[in-house]
Amino acid sequence: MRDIWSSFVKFFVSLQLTVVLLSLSIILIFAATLDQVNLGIWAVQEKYFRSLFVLWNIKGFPVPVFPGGYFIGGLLFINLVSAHAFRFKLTWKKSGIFLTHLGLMLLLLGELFTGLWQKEYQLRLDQGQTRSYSESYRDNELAITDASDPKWDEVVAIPEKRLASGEPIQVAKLPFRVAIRSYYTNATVQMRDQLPNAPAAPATRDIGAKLALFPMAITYKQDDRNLPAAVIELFGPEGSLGTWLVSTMLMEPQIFDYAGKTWRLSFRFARNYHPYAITLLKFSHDRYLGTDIPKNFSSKIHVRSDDGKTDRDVLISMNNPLRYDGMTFYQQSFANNDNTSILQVVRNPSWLLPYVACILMGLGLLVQFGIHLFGFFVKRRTAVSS
Amino acid sequence: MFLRVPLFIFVSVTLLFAAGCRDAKIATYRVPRETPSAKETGIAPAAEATSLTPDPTTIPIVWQAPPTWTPKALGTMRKGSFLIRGDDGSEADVSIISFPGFAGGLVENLNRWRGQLKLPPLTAEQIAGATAELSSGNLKFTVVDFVGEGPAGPTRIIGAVLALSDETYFFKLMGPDVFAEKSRPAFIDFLKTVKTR
Repeated sequence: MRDIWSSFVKFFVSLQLTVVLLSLSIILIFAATLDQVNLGIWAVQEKYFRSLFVLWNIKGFPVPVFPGGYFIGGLLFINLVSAHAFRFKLTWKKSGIFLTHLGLMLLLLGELFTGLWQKEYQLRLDQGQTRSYSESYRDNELAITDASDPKWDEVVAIPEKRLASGEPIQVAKLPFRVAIRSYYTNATVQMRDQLPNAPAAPATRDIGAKLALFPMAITYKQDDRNLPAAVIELFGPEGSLGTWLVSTMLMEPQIFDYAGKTWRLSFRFARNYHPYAITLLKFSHDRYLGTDIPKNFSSKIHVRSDDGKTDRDVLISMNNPLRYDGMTFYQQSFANNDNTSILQVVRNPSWLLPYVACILMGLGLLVQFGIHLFGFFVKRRTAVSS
Repeated sequence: MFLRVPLFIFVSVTLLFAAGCRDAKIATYRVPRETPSAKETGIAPAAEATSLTPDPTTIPIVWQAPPTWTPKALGTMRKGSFLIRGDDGSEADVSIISFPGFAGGLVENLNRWRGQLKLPPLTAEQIAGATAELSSGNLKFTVVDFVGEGPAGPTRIIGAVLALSDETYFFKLMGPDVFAEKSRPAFIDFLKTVKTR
């Protein structure tokens, strides 16, 4: 037993493991950089770095072909921690190395936590508009809303992944079951009456009966996005209520009445509701005098929290984000002839970790070099005096 | 020390596995009623479309393409997209896009098309002499016909600009010079099918 334990420890503290892991990470980064041409930066991060294994789809089965970022990073972390627990001894002479390694550990943990917890959203506001939610860039959801109450919406938000799985969906708050008839990661829709030889309508209810659906190739471009669509069928106790085409291309919800209530169907960017509302008071796009060269973009907003504790104006400009309630609001873009401001909304509870890690590593290197330099001066003085 | 290391390993491995388990959960919540949408109130659609691709149900005009044209998937900009294929294998592309307002003006947009054919830009006066008017119902198109160089030799753009009250539509036929010229009557007939909803 003791032998197994010692060989276990020996494996994890070994410098060979460090070298192998560093070599693997070089190969991983190289492959990911090449694959970025095909997948784009977002998909590459998910496939290569924010995964335990890089998976290849072989005949419909995901097969692990190479250790992913979490695997290599995780082992490096364990390797470093084990080395400090069993091999290194804390002495003043090596305090710089300890500090540097501590920084490295924090950096590895920071990346892990960022991958796990960071959420990015977008908040689009026209001047004068108020919103209490931000929207995801990439994730979509099918929102089925009970819109019977004139003041409140009861929302059931079904993530796109659930539609993609094709499994029927039953939620206690819905008086019907949702069956997924077909799902498309990227598809475009066009009005059938504008098309020659239009294909059959994909759905029987609402606008879906007037549209033609065309599946498209999945895009991985950074400045492009997939527009998922699905054909769903709703079943009540008495049988099918019909089929609906839901597409992220359709801005307007589809409305129908069932079980004495009014329902809205909408396939949209996944929403993240906040306990506060933000109003865009004014968006400014300043230019250098006499030119069209942008000088500054800023949004004057008003934040009002539901509990009434916050009620203030804030100016967000390019390098001055608003940090509020665990979210950071950056000025990201604008649209609609300078009438719409687009804010990037980021939630990253571990955002401070990389800063702390870099400070520790910098300090550690400074201390270590300082100790060596001091030792060198002492040695030289002794040599000169002797 | 012997307890600390297994604990580290356990925590790390747990975190690693947690990383792989991001479940897609169905959320239910209650929120204050949204402001009724443009469709429900009859107000002109606000420019809040987060989707980059136009919603075909909100386009204020309709058209009817000839049966010989093949519909193509819409990109992020196009509101209509067709392929015209000739008997000899020649292909021309028809696109319909729109921009809000006057979209930078007629001169700039027609010069944008000229740039695609590697032609030098024209002044406003020259542009006025290079355009023709086409009326169809209550709509007026500004039609142009440019021939220049494309990646596969001489290329022609037959374009039409339709200015509505708050947006401008651009209809463009682009293809090999001879084939595009041959497709011109069908394109002009297609323009005549355009109507406001």
